[in-house]
Amino acid sequence: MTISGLVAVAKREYLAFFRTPLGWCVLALFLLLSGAMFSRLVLLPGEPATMRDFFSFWWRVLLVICPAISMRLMSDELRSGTIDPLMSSPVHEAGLVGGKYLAACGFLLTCLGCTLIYPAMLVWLSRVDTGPIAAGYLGVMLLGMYQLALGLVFSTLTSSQTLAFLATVATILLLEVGVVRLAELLSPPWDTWALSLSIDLRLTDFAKGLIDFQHLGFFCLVSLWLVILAACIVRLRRLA
Amino acid sequence: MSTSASTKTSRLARVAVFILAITASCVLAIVLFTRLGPRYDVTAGGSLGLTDRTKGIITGLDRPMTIVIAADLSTLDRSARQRTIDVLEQFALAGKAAGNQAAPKVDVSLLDTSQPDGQQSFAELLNNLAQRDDADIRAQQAAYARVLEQAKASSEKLASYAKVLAGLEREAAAAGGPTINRSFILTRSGAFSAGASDLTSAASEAADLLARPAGVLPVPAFDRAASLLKARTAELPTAIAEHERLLQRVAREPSSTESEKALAQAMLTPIGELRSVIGALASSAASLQTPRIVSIGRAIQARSSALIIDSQPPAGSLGITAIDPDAILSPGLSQQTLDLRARTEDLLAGALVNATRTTRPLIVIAHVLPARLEAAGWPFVNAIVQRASMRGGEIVEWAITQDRAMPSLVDQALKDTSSAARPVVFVLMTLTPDAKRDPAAAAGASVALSRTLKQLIADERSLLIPVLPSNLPLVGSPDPIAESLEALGISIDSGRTLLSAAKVGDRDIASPFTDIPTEATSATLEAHIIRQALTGLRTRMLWPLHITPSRTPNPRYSVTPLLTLSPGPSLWAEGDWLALASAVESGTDFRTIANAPQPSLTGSSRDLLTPPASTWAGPAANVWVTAVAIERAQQPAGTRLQRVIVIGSGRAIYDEFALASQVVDNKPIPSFPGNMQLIESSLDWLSGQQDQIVQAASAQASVTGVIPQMDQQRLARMRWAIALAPPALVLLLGLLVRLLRSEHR
Repeated sequence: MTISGLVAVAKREYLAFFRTPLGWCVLALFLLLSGAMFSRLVLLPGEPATMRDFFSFWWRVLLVICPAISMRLMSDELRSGTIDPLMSSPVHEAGLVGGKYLAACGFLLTCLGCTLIYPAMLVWLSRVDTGPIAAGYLGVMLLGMYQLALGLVFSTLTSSQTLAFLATVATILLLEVGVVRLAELLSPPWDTWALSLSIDLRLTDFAKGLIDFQHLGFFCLVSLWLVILAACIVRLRRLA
Repeated sequence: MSTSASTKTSRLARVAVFILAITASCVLAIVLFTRLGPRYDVTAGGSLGLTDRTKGIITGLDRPMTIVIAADLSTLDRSARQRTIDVLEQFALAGKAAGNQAAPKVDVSLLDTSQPDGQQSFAELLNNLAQRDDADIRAQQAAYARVLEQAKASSEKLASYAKVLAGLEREAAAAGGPTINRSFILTRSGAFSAGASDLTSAASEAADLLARPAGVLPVPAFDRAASLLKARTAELPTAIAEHERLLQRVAREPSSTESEKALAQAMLTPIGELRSVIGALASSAASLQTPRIVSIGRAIQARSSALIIDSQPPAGSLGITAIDPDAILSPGLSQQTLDLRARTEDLLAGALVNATRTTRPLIVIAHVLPARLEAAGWPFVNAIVQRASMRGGEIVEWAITQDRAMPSLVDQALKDTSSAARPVVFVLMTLTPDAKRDPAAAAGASVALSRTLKQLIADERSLLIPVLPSNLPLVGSPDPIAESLEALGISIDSGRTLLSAAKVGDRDIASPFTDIPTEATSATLEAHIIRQALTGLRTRMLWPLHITPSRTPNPRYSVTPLLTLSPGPSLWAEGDWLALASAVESGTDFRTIANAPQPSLTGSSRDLLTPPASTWAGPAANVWVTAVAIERAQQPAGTRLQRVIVIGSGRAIYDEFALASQVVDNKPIPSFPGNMQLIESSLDWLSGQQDQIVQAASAQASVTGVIPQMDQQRLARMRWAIALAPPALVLLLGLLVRLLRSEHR
């Protein structure tokens, strides 16, 4: 695997998002949902000028957006058959998958970058503590990377974008709602272990301005593991 | 198997092993991060961590404590809810760090009483608390039952004596005795009959109170029953003794006729037994105590409470400390810049310290008023009793002009020189009886007050002295209270009050109340722990007086200015303040005194437009000083701590400002929380319990701003703009890019 190959794939994939109407629509949808949520949760006269509640709820928007970004990453190649020329190219599976993943992360970063008008508006309206906002963005980005990696795995498993999208959404929901329900049934310390998989709880710390390397490590490592898993699946496909 | 198949299998196996290895590595790394990963608080004020002081308190705990906060989270202000949850989480983390995962030093529990589960847990908690003090409750119930029995017997004796008197009156009438004697007997008979009836009804009311729970806690209102019985029985022995003395005088008086002497003797005969029964009742009632849990019960509201529970309380200790739940759950006032999170942390930390303490400070409220404070029903007294009880203190009243000596409880505590001696703090109320109504009583009370103050200073007692302005300097006489304070090395100008100019409409008026700035202060002032506790809290003083070092400083004491006011054209010391006081008295509203003297009247030679050039060193120089903390410069070993706080505003601690509140989000919030904080932290400091004083709140409050109020139309426009404009722009840009691309092709 070469870095240049990975960068080339990432650049091509990133630009591909803006070559199709889907990319623009996803971005617009993300901004519409986020804006509506921001105006309902943050723009409340008399309330503290923080984005804490917004960050705690934002993962629900990402739940739709991230699978929408990731669904076509590999499924499209599988459906259109362009996977075979790619496999025969000098690009390693890891470079291919990693490049696509980086492109998706870049697109998510672009989406989040567009929302910087929200903190800018808060700064304009009142006195703001920027630390928790920066931490909140970091948390959301990490969460997005985790969801994109999960979506990438499903995208390598099926040629149907819809199926990849639905499978990703269902898995994220299961991980979020399921573990909380499971924790309720378990006794200590197993309930703590179950709750450690909860996205919401991890995001809450970032939202209030606490950068905990426990969460940082969790998101980064799980994302890395999922990307490697996706690369392995592609490798297995090639071997098969 | 062909070579290619074998190679394939081998590669598949390698991939599988690789996946397993990567999975194991990731799991291991996540576990390591969970155990060892650092946490960084990126808030501006570092508000997500506990202060070193709090961590030290938690680490120093020698037994586990539980913090329980019960609240209706559905009605709680959003910021208050987040703040409470954050602080509790931090205490839980620190508790685990100081102890271990399985047995933390501090355990926390947040009960949501809006949910059935929370309500059930809250009810169970209250039952458990009552159970912990069950032995004490049972013992007190038995004592109360005995007093009720005694009250019943005493009431019968009083009624029986009234009947005896009525019989004597009938006999006197039959014998043609003088009407004046018969009238006296009838009056006395009526009085004893009424006394019997009052005692019966008081006993019946007390029995009712003892038969049902007082509030949310399943414990009767022992305190109310005790005060009812004490109030009804306290005066009876004196009344009987006076009656007896009068009859003895008549029986001995040479000028009395034989029939009068015989009548007096007949009335005296049964009184010995009555005296002993009533004396025994009064003594039993006076010794009635309230189970310790009752004081905590007052701080527990129907759906909210904040408690620190000691899991292994030492013998004789209740092991529960309550905090005013509103102090923790308050949404705060918009004009305050107080760091409420830090205050919540400090309230909990202070309560943890208090829970581990075994000695309870004794707070003596000394006064020269004609009535008992309980009878006066002052809300201030109720508030301070409740707050002192919550923090483990005990309030004792000393009515200087009524009680012959200091209360025995206080006397005993002062004689105790052991290391476990209870701290004793005297709060000297300088209010005197109204001189217009009773000049003689007022003069006598003033003399008694200054004599007591001098004695307390000479005895090196810890004192809280709020000083009222005096009209004596106006007529050239020294104010005895101000004179007494010279011994402490300070001089208080009680003849001139600080007035501030204010605008009402287009007119300048003089106002007797002044808000003390507690935001920007000098480093020296902030260094004092009480000053720190007040930072950010709105504090208001009525008729403030300024304090200077005395001309002959006393090297035994070190004096620290606590509250200061910067000089300015709108603030001066008015010598002719009585003119304004008369205007205030004639009006009903302190806040708008339209007919008050104009500041231009301050040309009087008695007035001071700037602080006297003396005086304080450092940052307090050339400013008005309105409160000082005094401490004995050297504390000899084995002596009691002597600290004094003088507040140049007699009403600052018990006027309407200390308890004034306003409603925010349907909750009463103190309007001048600094006034109550001044009292609480002063009492803590004076009793040597300064580690309970809220300090962290004084840290520069990096309070996040609030979204400003705006009209609905503007708000709606802003919301629509933020929700629709960015996606619309993105779609437009996408369309543009597409058009450009198609043209390029």
